[in-house]
Amino acid sequence: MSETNTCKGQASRRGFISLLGKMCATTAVCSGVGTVSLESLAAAASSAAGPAAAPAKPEFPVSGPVPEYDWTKHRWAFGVDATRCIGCLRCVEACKVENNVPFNAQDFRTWVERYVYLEGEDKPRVDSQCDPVNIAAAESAQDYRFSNRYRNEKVTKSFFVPKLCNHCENPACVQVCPVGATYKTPDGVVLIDEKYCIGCRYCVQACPYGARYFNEETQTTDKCTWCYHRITKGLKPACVDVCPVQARVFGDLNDPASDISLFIRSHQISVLKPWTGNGPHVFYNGIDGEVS
Amino acid sequence: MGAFMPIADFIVSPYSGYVYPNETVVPWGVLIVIYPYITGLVAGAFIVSSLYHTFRMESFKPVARLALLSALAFLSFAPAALLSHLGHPERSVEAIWTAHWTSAFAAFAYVAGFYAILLVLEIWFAFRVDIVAMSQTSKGALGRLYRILTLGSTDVSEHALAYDRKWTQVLAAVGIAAAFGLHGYVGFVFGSLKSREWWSSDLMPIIFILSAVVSGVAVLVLVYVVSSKVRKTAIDENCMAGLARVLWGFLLVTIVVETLEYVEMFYRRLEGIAMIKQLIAGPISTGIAIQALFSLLPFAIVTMLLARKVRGNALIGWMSVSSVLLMSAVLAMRWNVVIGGQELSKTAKGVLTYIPGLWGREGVVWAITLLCGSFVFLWILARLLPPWERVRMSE
Amino acid sequence: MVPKHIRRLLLILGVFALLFVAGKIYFPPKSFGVYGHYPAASVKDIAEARITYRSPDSFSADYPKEYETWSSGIHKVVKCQICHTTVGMRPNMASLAGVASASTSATLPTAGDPLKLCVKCHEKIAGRPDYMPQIEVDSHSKGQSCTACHNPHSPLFSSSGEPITASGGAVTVDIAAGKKLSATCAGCHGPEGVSAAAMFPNIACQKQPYLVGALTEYQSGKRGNPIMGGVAKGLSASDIQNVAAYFAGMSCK
Repeated sequence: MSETNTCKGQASRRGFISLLGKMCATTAVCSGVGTVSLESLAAAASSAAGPAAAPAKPEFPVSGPVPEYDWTKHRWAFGVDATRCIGCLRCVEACKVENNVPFNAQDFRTWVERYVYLEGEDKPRVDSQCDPVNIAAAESAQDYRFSNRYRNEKVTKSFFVPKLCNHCENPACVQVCPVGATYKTPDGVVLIDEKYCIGCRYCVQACPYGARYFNEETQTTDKCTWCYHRITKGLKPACVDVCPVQARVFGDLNDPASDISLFIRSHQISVLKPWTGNGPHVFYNGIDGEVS
Repeated sequence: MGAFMPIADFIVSPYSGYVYPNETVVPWGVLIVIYPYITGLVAGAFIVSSLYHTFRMESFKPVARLALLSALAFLSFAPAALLSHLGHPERSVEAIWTAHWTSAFAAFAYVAGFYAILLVLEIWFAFRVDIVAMSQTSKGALGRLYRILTLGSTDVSEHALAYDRKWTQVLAAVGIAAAFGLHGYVGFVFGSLKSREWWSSDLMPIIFILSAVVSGVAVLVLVYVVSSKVRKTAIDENCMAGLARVLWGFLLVTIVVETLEYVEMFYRRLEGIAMIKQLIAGPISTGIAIQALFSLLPFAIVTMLLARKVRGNALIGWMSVSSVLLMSAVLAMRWNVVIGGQELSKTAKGVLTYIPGLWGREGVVWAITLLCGSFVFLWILARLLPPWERVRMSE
Repeated sequence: MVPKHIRRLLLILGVFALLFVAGKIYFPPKSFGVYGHYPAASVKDIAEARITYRSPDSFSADYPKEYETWSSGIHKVVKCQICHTTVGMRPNMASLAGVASASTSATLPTAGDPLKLCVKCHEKIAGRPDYMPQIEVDSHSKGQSCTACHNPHSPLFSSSGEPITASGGAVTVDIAAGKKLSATCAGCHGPEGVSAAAMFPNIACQKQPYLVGALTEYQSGKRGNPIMGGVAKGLSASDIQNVAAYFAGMSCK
């Protein structure tokens, strides 16, 4: 009796384990297949001769999918001169108009902060254009203006700091996107595919700079794109163009004579929150340690 | 009528100090509070079931199959919370087809999917004998359902049952690891983010798993007590004592690790500590109080129950009270972490106060509906697959 | 012999696995994965978004007089859209976008209330650096609109073309006479006030009151400079006003 059981038991165990093993193998293969699409497999097969896998599709060449623009030739960067910014907020408005950002006081691709040190205080008072006091001064959530709230105070030091997406080298937002809807292009711009984003807002949480927001109309996340549609045509981002005092600088790091290269060379520049390891590409002149 | 019913999807939170302009709309609301809460219930219930199915602890036999059904009921509603929150739930399958493996979320689709299949299989194996029996006795649509579930086989011989036992054991063992993965990933999502000081911690996955098990055992206790009262059946005292021991063990470690987290935060006194103090004293003061008191009080109660070897109605009564308190404490903990973390501004210069809306997707009403829905679904499952000892089980 | 229900179960699981593989091949967008873990087609979509802000030069044909005034004055750095925007009314941007280049009637939305508009840059508030011309609004405007004295396209001049002085009153100057006098200055400072040599500063688009003040100080010796002292002593008060006004209207670029 026991021998029969053992024999049966052995056979059943072997059969069981082998079937389980087959299942595991199938699952592993499936997961492996999943990481490359059939297209890229075909591409890799067809370009076996070349050192770099050239995509097989003609509309997606190595120089990038944008016609008449070679993204391998540019390395974009942004500069902010906080010593020049006058806090007029025209950049905020220009960005909203250019990029269809909702005209409210909650969603911003770029904004300006004001740091004011009053006499006898070590820590600055910080506000931005969507502070309720400033909204009241502008008399509208759609109009942007800084109020004159310190007119009766003794101000020892104050300055404006424009902020926007830093288009980091190692973006935490790209890392955490579960579906691959946000990504960094070879020319250094972090973009979002509005048609692919599922709206989980994980990237909004991951950004240490608060650059991202959730667009209620499109139900996807959105952020500054350095006006990719303009820079790929040789224009400047809308905020840089509109700034009347050249507080914002944009250009190609590959070009040593570009505005940004000269900006970096002629100022002691800093970046925001370097300890995060994100490697931001917006370089600031004239901010102090309290700017976070 | 309409003015005072805020639609929860676009709530602008008031704040003190300075916060980034984009922070005034809190991205993760009550749905992301109850989602880890519900998955936590899954983990806890499943652990208890595995104590019987894998480790053969006989005292948990009365609740083992009930625990499995509970786990499935809660696991079915957790994705509902997530999908309600997404901007484009119809695109959520992208996380499966083009999973971005650097993202902790991407793992969720696979781990949860794997876990759901595992749970369904586990339940199928645990209930197969009953299913076979009911397929032969039931009539009509229900009978047809049972016959489909048998997969066309009415084999309940010793040979077949040996396979069932083996599968159950292995699945339960793998399931423990998967449950830890399922709930550990939630903690990892928060703990791995360097952008939020309240979340960024190595201890976060551990805290989430441990408190999940506590809440799962607590809900199992309550479900067991309530269902026994409704069915007018006796509650197994050994089982309840066993649950008390499990609860006590996990609760002890939870309290220690959670306390350790706070102690380290305050000892380190990093730059944002002033705002953290403001956060604890302000927006989440009630939540912290509930989390602390409703964890320590049940701990004291259960310690007395075990030390004095209390039995009978006293044991059941006090365990029920402790379970209610603990379920509230764990819910408060989820609130404190999810909402509290977002109320602490990334600027380290400000604190927001999030008040959820009543209606809308991210509203309190919908969150409570989902929570209750999972219990309703559990009731349906228990009617469909009665976990009580009805048919002779050869385990 | 594996029991029937196990065999059937494994079959079902196998079917699921195959469906999963099929889904992985079929469902991702066709352009996914070409350049990285994202849909490559989205880069093109983003780059092809509509450009809303036209360059101000594109308005030179539609508004020649205003363009001329604007481009030769100090407000050349203030792009048209800054003032000529109806905030919040985004459908109006269609007219501003200049999508159809043949559109001859590219209407700029009228600027809002000047007193509310100009102060967005020029009100004296905390944070504004000193180089920026700022005013205490109430005491400067005395309730008047900014355009009562300032030409918004070239605010150092009044609407009738006279330069604004520091005292606030408009002084009649002769730009043509100033231009004649500038021949002397051109030797060092360039004919248009932009000098070629590093040691001679640019004087183009300097504020007229400032140039007047500087020349007066050279004349009185308060500013000591042998070259400029000699030059200034040869100028009358009205000469100083005229030549200063001429260079103030010159472009810096």
